[in-house]
Amino acid sequence: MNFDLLLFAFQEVIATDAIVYLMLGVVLGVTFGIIPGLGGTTALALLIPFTFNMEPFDAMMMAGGVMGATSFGGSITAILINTPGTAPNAATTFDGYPLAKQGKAGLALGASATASAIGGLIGLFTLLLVIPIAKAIVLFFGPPEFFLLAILGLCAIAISCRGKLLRGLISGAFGLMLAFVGFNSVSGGERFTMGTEYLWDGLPLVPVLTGMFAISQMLELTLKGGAVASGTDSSNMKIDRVFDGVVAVFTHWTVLLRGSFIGTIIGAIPGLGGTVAGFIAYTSAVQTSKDPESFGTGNIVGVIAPESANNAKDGGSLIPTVAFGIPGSAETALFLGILVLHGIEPGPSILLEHEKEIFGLIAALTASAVLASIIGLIAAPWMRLITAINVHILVPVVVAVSLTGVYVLKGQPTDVIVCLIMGVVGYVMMKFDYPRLTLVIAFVLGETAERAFQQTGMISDGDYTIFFGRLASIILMTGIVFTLALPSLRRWQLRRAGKVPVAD
Amino acid sequence: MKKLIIVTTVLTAVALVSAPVKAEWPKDKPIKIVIPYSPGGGFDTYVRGLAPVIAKQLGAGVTVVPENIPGAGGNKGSTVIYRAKPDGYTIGIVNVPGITVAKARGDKLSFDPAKYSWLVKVADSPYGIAASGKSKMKTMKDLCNLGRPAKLAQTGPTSSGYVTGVIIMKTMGCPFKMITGYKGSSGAVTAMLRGEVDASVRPLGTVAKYVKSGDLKVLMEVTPKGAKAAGYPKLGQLGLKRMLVGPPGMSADLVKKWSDALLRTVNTKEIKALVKKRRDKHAPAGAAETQRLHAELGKFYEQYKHLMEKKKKKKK
Repeated sequence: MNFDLLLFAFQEVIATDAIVYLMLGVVLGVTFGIIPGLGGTTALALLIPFTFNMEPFDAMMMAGGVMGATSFGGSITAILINTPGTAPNAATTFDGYPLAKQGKAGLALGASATASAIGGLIGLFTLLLVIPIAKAIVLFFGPPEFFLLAILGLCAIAISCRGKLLRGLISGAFGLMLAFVGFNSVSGGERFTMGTEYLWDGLPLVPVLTGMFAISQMLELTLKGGAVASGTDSSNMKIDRVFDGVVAVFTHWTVLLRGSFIGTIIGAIPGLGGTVAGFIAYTSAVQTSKDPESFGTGNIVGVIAPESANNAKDGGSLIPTVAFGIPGSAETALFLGILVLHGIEPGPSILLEHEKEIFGLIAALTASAVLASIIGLIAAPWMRLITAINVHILVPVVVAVSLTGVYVLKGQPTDVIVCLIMGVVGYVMMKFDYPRLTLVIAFVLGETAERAFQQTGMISDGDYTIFFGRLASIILMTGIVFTLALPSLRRWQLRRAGKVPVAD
Repeated sequence: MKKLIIVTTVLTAVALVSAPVKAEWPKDKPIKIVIPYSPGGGFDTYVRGLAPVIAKQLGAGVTVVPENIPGAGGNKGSTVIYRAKPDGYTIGIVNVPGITVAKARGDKLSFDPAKYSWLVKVADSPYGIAASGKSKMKTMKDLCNLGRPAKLAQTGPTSSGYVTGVIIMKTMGCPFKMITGYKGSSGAVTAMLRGEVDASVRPLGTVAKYVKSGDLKVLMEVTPKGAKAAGYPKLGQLGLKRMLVGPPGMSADLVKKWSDALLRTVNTKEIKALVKKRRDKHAPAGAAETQRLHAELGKFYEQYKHLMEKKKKKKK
């Protein structure tokens, strides 16, 4: 492993004007992260033309800056207004927003910033460690494993809707139905597109997500009045310290490590992104906690787990890249596109032929994760004041910014309409207490699950015992069984200890 | 009277000032080149490489802007080009034989490939049948004699790779099964490396670097030479062609102006280097020639229509 080159890359970052590009990327990343609807992928796509005249190394600086910063940026809105700024921050709303409502936004932001930074670092460190076996890792996971991983993610549904299992499952079913809209690339038929070309690629994720969370949340706030953190003692806000959040991350270091590990692995698997990583990390945190009932009401662990995961995935998503020059995520795919523009052809020998650019990106991601969080920590005391802003000002601003963000994606007015429709749907769901998050999990994973399952069938010629013949599949199936059995196991444990279990 | 003079003078002044400055094509406004796919892919790379050279060829003060309009497997962007005003300010790159095959198969399209104003062909991007470097196969014969249907990894049943694969395997009488749903070349390549499929139809340019590293090998090059060597010369017509088109209805004058500029562009040092870098074949052709080629390809794929019929409910 060429440590010299990595150190050299870091040197270049600091010594040359590359750091300007890095900072620019970080600021852009945080901004795009905050705006619901925009995210890392959009930011990179918009940046591509500008990188045309830059040195490849500088372009990597900027791309890395953006990639490392958007996950944290998105957590800010997730916490403050229950709206994930980017899809991977969806799980952060579970406990982040309740904390904000209790006037503890600073705590949540501090934890998020720290977890993001350290999670990102752990992900990158793991990447460097596994470079020698990167190829083997990429080849370990195939369609059967993709399917099982998607199922594992869907199991997160069962966990995340405590006390509302039936409604959660109905939402999830609705989410799956939405996921199946569009052209099926395996069997080659169009489904539910109603003859329109717009729906050929299926319902677009970002407008759906933004509508379900941003718009519906704004509707709710408008009708409720006041401010996000109203109804709590204002003295709560005075004792809310960002630093406590930072400390909390170190107190719960096992959660941090587990979340980062999960994020790295999931990042390494093409097709599953930060969203899945966040959900699975959250689920595992709930399962292994001594106090699972407190999740959803403002348990700081519920912020640490997903935020460390969705940053660790950046390092993980580079594992297929260093192995075969293959992107591990949509953002990595765009980053590789930037390389292509500069005449660098990503391929299996990319690490041999273009070490400088790859290590440059790794250095940039490292620096960016830390820088974004530092910016976040500094700004947190002011950001949490947003929770005190009256909705009459907050709502119009958020709605305008969100819809603009959704429109900017493809310049399609239909996206905005979808966003608004889903906004109403989301609000109705909120009013009838149907969990929106299970719909989102199912929507995100449905396509992957179905495609992987159909491919598995074709590869194995219809012989589904293939799942039992592969080590990776067996490991995952054990994980799924364990996940589903855990609540019952725990109840049995409690009963044995004489405590009365809480009804589900 | 005085009032009338003042009013007339003011109105005339306003009229003169607001009269549009007559600028001629191509300087009037930015020229848009539509790419029906997302950034980073082959078509995208070609257009982004061509754009600055085109701008130079068209003269000083000309802006050429590539625009990605992905969706519906390339149909969205192709439709945008089709519906644009034929004023010479919008052109685009299209997937041949993708759109040709779609028409031959009878897909419902919002555009008619034959009606485009065909402008230029830049290069040919031939396909190859690739297999894992670790496999014992050496030629197509080995692929055909596996004792079971060969499994090929492709993106989707409407992709040109899929169609090419079907035509080749059926023409050669090889039993095969298409496994679709893989995301792009990356997905197919890892599938071959994992051993879950036997081969895949891939652009030779993409495969080259894996051949160099030993991860993949090429069983057959789908070029006129490779096809002849395999004993099926007609298959040499298969392959991806990089062609630029304008919307239907462009005036003959505009088509000529564009075609000339594009031919000059394609023959520059920079573009030759770009094609070479992608390991494609530099094969320029002007407007008339390109249109003829496309019509010919249309007829070529028509004869394979029966092979390409969309899968009916019954599984093969």
